[in-house]
Amino acid sequence: MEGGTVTAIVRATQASLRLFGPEAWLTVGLLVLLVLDLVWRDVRKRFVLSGTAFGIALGAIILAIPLLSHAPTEIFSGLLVVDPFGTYLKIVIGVATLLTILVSVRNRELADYPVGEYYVLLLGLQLACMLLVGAVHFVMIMLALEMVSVSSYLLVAYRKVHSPSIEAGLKYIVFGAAATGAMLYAVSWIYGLTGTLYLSEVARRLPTMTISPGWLVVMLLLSAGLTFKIAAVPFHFWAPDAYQGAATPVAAFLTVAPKAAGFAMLVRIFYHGFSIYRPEAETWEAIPGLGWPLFLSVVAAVTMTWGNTVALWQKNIKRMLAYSSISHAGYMLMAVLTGTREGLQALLFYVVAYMVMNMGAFFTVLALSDVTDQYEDIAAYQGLAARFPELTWVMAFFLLSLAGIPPFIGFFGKFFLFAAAIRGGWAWLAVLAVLNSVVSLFYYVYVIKNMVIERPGEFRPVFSWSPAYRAVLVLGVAVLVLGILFSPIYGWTARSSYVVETFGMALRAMGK
Amino acid sequence: MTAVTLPEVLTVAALLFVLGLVAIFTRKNAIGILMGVELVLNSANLNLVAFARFNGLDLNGHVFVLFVILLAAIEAAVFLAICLAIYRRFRDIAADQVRELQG
Repeated sequence: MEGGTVTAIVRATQASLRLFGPEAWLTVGLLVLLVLDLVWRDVRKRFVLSGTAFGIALGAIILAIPLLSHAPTEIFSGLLVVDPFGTYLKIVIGVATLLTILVSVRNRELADYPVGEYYVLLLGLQLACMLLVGAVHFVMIMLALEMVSVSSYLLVAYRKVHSPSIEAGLKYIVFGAAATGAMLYAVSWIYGLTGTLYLSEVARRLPTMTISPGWLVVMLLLSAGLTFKIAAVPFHFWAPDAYQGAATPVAAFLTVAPKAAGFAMLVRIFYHGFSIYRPEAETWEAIPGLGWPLFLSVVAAVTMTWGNTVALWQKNIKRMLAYSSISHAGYMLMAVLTGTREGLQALLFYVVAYMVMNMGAFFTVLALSDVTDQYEDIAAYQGLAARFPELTWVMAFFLLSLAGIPPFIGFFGKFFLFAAAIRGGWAWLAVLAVLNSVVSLFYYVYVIKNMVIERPGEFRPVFSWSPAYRAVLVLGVAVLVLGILFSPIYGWTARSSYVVETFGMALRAMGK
Repeated sequence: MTAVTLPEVLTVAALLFVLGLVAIFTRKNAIGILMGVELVLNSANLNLVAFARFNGLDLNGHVFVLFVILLAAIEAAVFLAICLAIYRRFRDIAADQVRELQG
């Protein structure tokens, strides 16, 4: 190879690495943590490793913030993109990781298990989510997706002598392997039919091709992997088991970060790969013949209805929250299928709202796990209000916010989602979502009702300032304050909804 | 002897894919399920190399196959690790014996 080409490659890699800061930092941090785990033999190990993990996650966020206003750019010859949309989600994923590390430090459920591998897996999952958010090439997508999945399986099955945990792990990996296998098979067909693995190239070639009915099968199989990652019906079966079986910090993290990354993947594939961008209307128009908006609307409708209906008769709070998170995936899908900038903006806003309220609800369960063994049974929540008034208040905030009651952030999140759906021409779906929100109120309020019932429960009146307790109170304030002062985040989402329009430029410049 | 054509390879791959799915959904033994997963992944591999070879595409397909083999190895490792944990706990790796989580 001649010298000029080598120099050009080196230069391109250097330029790419500059925009790859958060991920590169995480990769190095992971290795440092792994070594630290091996060499540190001390009673303070748990705190040292937790502190290091916290620092690594914090560093990734700090490195990502300057990229938030960076113009959309392709890096590593079009494998990944860095754009405001992706960076915004990376920061959300980073914050979710930080909170999870914070509450894992003194978590009782994890106390008997090695701490080093736990943080390595958690940070690995964060790294994988961040890679998936930026992936725009099918090899990169599959690699990142599998990295997300494998770390999730291991985290769910982490409590290896706790039967529900490993049982959940087995169910999760069986479903996951089948779903990603089906998706991979679909990707192989996309490669064969379009002749490329770059999403932007797929979008460029598809309009010139005749879309045969076979594409329907390809899209269905592809959706298997996509709906699996966001836990949408019909690939949601793993979610309740995984969230119940996993340690509560892991469950809280799994409901937020991989889901956010899954939605990013959905947007990348459907917007960049299977749509034509119309700059004048700022919309992504589905390539005729693929019909993915209609398909996604059916998935969204079934997902939100199914999730809410089954949540109604759950006795275990983690299962109930799992079904609730399934229905929330349905709401969020509504924003994706509109194919408008407004929809993207609503999605980005909802991801933050969902993170605050859903992690808050899980962390309340976690804070209770520090003081009682019966923290999973909703019926055991009776009399909670008398013993833990603060916890009851914030739990009520989270649940009402999840139900979409003003003035909490969940209300505004849902409002933007519904508005985007109606303006995008999906009024029937918005109506269904509103009805679903009403239904969801029943099971959320049922928990609150249980908590305020005056009856001495099993809880001993022990007050503990555990990290989880503090994290819960912070999130409880956040869910209220962000609900009232939602405009800064909304403004932020407006700036961040810029997905790459200039996408595929690097590729074309390379002469492909 | 006639040369192999693209549709023939694709048919074999499709058969592998279906057989793999059937194995995943009907096998009781966890190792059987893992074998089904491997069949599914390899059906995709066969597709990728066949398309790259017969349609004269770039090297992306070939490289993808190498990555998929890697992914399959990782997945098998994690799957077997979970199977070991299951066996230690339940003294069995039949997937239908493992059911405490319901609802």
